Amino acid sequence: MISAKKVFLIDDDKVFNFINSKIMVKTLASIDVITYEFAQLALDDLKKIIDTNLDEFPEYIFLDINMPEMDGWEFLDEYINLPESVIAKCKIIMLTSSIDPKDIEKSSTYPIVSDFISKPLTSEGLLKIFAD
Amino acid sequence: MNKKLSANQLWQLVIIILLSLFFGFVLGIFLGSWKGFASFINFPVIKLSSGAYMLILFRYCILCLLLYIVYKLRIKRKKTEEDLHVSQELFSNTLLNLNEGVIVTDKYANISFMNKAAEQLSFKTINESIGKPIEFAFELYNPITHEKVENPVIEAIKYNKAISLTNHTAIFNQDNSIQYISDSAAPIHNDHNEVIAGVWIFRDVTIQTVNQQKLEESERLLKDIIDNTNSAIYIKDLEGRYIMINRQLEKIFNFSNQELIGKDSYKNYPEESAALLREADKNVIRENKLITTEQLIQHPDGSYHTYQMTKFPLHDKEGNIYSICGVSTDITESKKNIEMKEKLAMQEVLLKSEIKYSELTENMPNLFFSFDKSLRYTSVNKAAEKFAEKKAEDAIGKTITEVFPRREPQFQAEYIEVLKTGNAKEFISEFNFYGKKCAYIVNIYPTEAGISVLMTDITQQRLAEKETLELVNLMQRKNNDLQQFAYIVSHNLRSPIAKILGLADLFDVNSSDINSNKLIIDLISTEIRNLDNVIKDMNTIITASDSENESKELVNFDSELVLIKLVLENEIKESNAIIISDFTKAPEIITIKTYLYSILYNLLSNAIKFRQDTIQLEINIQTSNIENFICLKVSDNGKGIDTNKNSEKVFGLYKRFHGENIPGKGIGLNLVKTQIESLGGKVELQSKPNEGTIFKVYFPNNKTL
Repeated sequence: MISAKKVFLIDDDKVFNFINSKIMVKTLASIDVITYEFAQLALDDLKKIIDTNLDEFPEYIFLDINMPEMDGWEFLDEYINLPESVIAKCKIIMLTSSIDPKDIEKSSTYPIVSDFISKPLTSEGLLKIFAD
Repeated sequence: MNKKLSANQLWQLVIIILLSLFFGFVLGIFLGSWKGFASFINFPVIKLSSGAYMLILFRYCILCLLLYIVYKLRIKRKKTEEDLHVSQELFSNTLLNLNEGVIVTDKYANISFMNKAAEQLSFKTINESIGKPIEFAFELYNPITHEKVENPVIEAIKYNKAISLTNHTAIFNQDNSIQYISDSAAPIHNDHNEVIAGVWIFRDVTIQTVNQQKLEESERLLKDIIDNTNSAIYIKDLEGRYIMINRQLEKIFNFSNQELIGKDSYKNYPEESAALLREADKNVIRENKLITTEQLIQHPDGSYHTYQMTKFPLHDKEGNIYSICGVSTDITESKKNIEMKEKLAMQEVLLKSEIKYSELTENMPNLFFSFDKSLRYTSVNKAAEKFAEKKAEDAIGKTITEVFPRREPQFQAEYIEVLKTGNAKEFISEFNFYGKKCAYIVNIYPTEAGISVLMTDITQQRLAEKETLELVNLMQRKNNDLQQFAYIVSHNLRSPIAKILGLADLFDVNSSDINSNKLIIDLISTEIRNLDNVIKDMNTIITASDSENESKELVNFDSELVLIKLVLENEIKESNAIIISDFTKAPEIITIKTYLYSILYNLLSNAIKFRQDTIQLEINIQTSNIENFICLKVSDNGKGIDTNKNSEKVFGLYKRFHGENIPGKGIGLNLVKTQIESLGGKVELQSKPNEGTIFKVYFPNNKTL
């Protein structure tokens, strides 16, 4: 039995959030997905969790790159300033609909990023990530 | 001895013979006949009887005996006379043939004899001289004073003593040439030591004397030369002690000859110079040949002199070196003179090259000018005159500020730096000279008088370089844009496809949840429409980038705005926007009409879209002439953009800065940028979050179609 996973899904595209959360639920029975359309809001929540209840801190963050206002990279720049002990337990998976090699290149400069996958999410892809 | 004695004796002998002949004659007569006398004469051939013969012989014998007795009586005297005669002959022969001149005088100094040598010297014969005073044959003179002097024989007779003269006496020949003689005189006395005669012996010493004089003269000459030359001449033994020095060397040391001879020649010099000299002497001995060197020697008085020293070894008969001779010439002055001459020659060359140089600088196309140390112009070439439109004579002697009163003095800091450091400086400067844009390579050199400045015009090259650089930049930008476009388009194309793929994955035919499936189908159809829109947008953008085919026309800003207001009527109404426009400064422009429309439309619709809900939206639109552009300024008091964060992205394709609740695809500003750039203009953005945004779009102001 796979334990209930806490997952943040950050994407400005509502439809993608809908699709991706559905696929996650479909793939894993016990999963707790919270979706955000604004990266800033997700970051604010993460800071709140650190201050209140560390157990609520997600194990996985699926992060879109192209977003208005705060994009995926800007989110990462803020995120790495969070306490190291906390973020060490969390995996960041970059999501993109593009196949821009620059984005892949850039993600390699962030050691904190553990995976880089193209949209849409698939059950196979998710299982592989969660199995690690 | 009486000389006449022999003559008397001869006479006496003759008388005796005559007497004996007379007696014989008397005897013959006595004997009786001429025949008898004849037979007496021819005694051996007359044949007589032995008795008569015996008688005659007897008589003759008596006669002879008689004669013999007479002779015998005289013989002793005769013998003495003969001896005297022989010795006299011997003596006079010897005297006659002597090389020395000999004159014998009587006790009154009258000539009684002179030999051949004396005859030759006096050009007088003995015959004409005998009995004459000695002055007849010889007049003597002091060889130096040329005064007449007494013949020494006179003195010898007078004082009865031999006189040997050391000083040569001169006699004058008939041709008035001088002959020198060496002479001596002595008295001749009898047994009683009474002077009876005098003898004067002399010898021609002209050749010796002349040679001696010449020798003395040349010695004196040599000494004069050695002493009066400016060179120091000296001979040293192998240990360096002076054997001989000349006056010049005495002067150098300020010591006398006596003080120096035999002394160590080095000790008077300062140590360093002494070592040099010692080494030079050693070299001569070692090399055994003449060596000439040039050395700087410090005199005992401390002054420095350059010497040309020639030293050579002197050899004895066996060929061994026994001393060193040196001739040292002080060439300090001449060296100075040579140096001075060289310096003068150099100055002349410099002067000539200076003239050439100034001709060159005067006529070269580069700007060339010089300053003195207080940064006043000292020279300005023609090119610089032309460039500055000033006359050289108006600039020379003045400062930069005095010459160019309306300008900040240019390169002053650099000039001062070169003056201070003395290091030349080269740099490229672009500057504005009374409205003229210039680019020059500036070379500043330090000179003796101050600095010189050489400026090479590279304005044209610079402009060309700039154009090329701009072109390259433009190409790069376009290329970036193109690449960006490709990726973004791929993203925007892929995004709906990805969604459709995901939705299709979620669609479950067997699902009982009809609502869920219906939602999925709706979403799929939305995404397909999005896909279609993206493709349409791409078409728009590609068309916008292609400006070549569009023709330009005179466009009125106000009429375009009126059109746009009509199109955006609903949005304006909804937002309650106040739109203020002022196109009085630049009401019209020659440009591509659809671009102007599109740009103004996008800016206006953006301003309405990104308004602040809490503030009355106010949009200001105005035009102005800025240089070669007409600037369209659209400002609002809307949400604004943090330009620090997003300046690069604002004009990017599909870039959006606000969330889903504001419509837009992030294509408008990209279109504005693409279109104005394809017109040859540019767009600028000033914005602050929650304060507003100002867009300035620069349209190239084409004066003609």
